[in-house]
Amino acid sequence: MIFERLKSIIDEHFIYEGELTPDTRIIEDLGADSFDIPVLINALEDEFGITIVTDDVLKLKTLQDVIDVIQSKL
Amino acid sequence: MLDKILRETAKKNPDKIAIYFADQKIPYAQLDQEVDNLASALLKSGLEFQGRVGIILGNGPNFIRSYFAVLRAGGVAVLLNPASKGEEFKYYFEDSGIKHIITSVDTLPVITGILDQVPPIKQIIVAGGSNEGQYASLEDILSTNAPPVEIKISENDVATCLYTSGTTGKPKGALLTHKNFTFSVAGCVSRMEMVESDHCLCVIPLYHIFSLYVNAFSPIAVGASVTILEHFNPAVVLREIESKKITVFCAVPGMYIAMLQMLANQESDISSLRLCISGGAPLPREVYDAYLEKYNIVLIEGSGPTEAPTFIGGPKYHKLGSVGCPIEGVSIKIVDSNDREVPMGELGEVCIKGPNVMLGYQNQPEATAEVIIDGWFHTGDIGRIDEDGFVYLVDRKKDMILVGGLNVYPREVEECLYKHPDVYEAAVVGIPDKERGQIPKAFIVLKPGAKAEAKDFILFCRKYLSNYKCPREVAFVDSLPKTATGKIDKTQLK
Repeated sequence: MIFERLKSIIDEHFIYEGELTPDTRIIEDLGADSFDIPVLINALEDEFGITIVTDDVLKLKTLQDVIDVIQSKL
Repeated sequence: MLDKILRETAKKNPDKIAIYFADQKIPYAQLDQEVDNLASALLKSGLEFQGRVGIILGNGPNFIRSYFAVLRAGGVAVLLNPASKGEEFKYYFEDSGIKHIITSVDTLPVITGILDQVPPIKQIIVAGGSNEGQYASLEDILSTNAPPVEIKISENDVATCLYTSGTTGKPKGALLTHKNFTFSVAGCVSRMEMVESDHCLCVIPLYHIFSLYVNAFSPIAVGASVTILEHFNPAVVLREIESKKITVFCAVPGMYIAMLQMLANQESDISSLRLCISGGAPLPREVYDAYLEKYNIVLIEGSGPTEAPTFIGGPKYHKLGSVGCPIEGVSIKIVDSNDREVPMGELGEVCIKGPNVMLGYQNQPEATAEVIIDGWFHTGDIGRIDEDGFVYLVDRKKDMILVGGLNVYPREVEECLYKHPDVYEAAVVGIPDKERGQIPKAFIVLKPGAKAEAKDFILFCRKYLSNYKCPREVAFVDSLPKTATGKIDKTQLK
């Protein structure tokens, strides 16, 4: 469920090749730059009703990392 | 002074055909006499020494006749695009102080439409048709038989006023002296190894500095021939190259691309070409490779802004991706934003110093002082020099895109896009972005039958470029806007 909701957010903000998986890398596979990260964080916070702090952001390399952070806040 | 190259060649080779145009074949002796006839007519109509004469003609022998006639009469040739609009002519006439005009019957209505809004014009000479005697006929003047015109001209007298593209603000008239030209022509002839047996094909408008040098001055200086086409048409170009055994051809990258498309669909023998120069815009690597691999033709890049004509490419002065090294007597340095020279190999603004640098901009001493500092002309081009003195141009300073504080050179992104098999032509510009300041946007002309989508090009670029350099938006267009000289006009894309 979390993954499906995450996928909707990713589809709205990023262009990528193939299918999204938990191993999808935010920078290398989604083409994110430093300005995309705050936009992504805002979208995640709005969707899941959570607050993501700087320390959490620094951990986000793959979608699995994003799922882990979301789950830790729910 | 510059007109002496014609006088001397006409003495040496009176019967050699100087110009082929449509069904005309004009020998050097005839051309030289016609120049005297026109120069005499200008003087009789009160052309003052260093008086400005507007030459508003398309490609053809009349352009060359008019240009040399103005020089011979001691005037200053102001070269204007005949497709300019009334308001544009108004600006040029007022700014340059034109008092005499040589134009065609096609352009005349636009000019006469603004005559009551500009300072009085002493004389209008019209080519190509009846104007009911209101203005002087160029054809009548050319068929007179005037004695040789010999006006004393010194090397520091102004020969030409050439307006820059003016993509920011109004175009500025670059004043080039006889010395600027005679120096650079010698360098051009040497670099191009131009000889009497050469035959050039002129498709770029002659009112552009690139065309003037390679299609007019250089062949005339050595007694070569030039075939002039009124307009660029790739099929016609290929036909002329084959039928006339053209040896030297110069074009902008867009023309070479169009010719490649044509060559893919029809056989043409272009083996007579010994020298092909690409100028006016960066040459995509893919185009260079295609000509080399398929036709064994090395496209050599040339450079030289209007303000400092610096032909720095040539057969023996060629490195892939470089525009060559400066001709003898011209120095180049690369500076940072504080005008300090950067270490070799580093990027910065390309600056030029030498006898080829203009006198200044007409009526714009402040603009002149901004670009010529201690004799160094600041080109506005970003580039680097290698250990052998070869210059590599990266992009125009003003076209650079600032993505979140990081520089992105559109050319780098365009080169990447050209690697994609579906891309026919591409241009990248910066567009505003809330978070980043600017982002790259790509405008792409697809090859016929191609079906790639925007997403495909973004993902393609990501394979080769850092994410911040990749286009964030892609638009497909049927064609890219071009200037009259064939350069992609990015101001229309922004």
